[in-house]
Amino acid sequence: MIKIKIPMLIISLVVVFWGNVSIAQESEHHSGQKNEMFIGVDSPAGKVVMQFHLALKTGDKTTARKLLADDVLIFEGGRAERSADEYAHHHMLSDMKYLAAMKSEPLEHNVKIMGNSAVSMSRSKTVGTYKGKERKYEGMETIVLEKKQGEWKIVRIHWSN
Amino acid sequence: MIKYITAVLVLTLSFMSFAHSDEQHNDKDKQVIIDIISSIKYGWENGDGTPFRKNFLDFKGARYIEGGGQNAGLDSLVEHHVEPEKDALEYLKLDFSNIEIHFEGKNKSFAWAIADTRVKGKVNKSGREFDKSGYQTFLFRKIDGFWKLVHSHSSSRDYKPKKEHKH
Repeated sequence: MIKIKIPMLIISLVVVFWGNVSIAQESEHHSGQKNEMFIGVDSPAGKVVMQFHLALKTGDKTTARKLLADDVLIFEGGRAERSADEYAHHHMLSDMKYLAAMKSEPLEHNVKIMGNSAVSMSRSKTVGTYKGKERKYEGMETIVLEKKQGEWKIVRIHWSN
Repeated sequence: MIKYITAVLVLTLSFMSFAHSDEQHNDKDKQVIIDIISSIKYGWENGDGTPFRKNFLDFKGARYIEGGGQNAGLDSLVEHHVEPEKDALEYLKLDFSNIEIHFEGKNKSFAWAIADTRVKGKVNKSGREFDKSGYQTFLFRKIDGFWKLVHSHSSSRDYKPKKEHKH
């Protein structure tokens, strides 16, 4: 409990970014021992999470918004955003700018589907310089997804570092 | 006509009874989850691993995240974190508030809970006191009739009182 650190960034975002690594490359990349660290990323819910990460990294606002449920709740850096529109019109844009400037490497990612619900837990290492400040940290992400009318949507996100 | 009215009444009463029973079931499950969250609070504050061992599902791949670090597995959480803090801290006060619980899945066997958190404490060695506020996400699964915590994620930053709105 006392390990809690003070997130310093405007975003204190720990989005796990998969960068230009395609989903197809993932399966090859995650062979051997790494398999244990990357479970379920190729599942339908896992792919939605990956698409979301990519959309944030590439500044694709339409896709990022589409993958969020309207009533998504996002915990990020000590604050909460309570709808997709709220996030899309506020911090999503600064998150995108920030992520475009950073390099992130996935350390582990585990996606578990339970019926029409799924949980994605991941950890990543992020390095880079933003607004003249060097950043280097390990970030955590918990995402809850629900299958609504045949489509997986992100309903909860918890980011921390 | 009487048969028709009777049939409609029976159907309505059955539906009401079913809805009521579902609601009661939900309330009962909610209370169980709130009790588990309370026991977690107790465990942290008293450096007692018992509530964690009782209510957490220990499985390969279990991850409990807090403040930028993670504990892989239940033993790691209890032995490296919960229990040692009893000696490392002069006191620890943890509060969960505004707890929201939602049930998902066909049999409502998956639940997630979110809460506002406030954690205060004093480190023995340095004398440093901390006061942080933030959020907690808990994920639960009902297994063999028992709710088990499968994942938790907490994050917080130094507490800053909300500015009073002046008119």
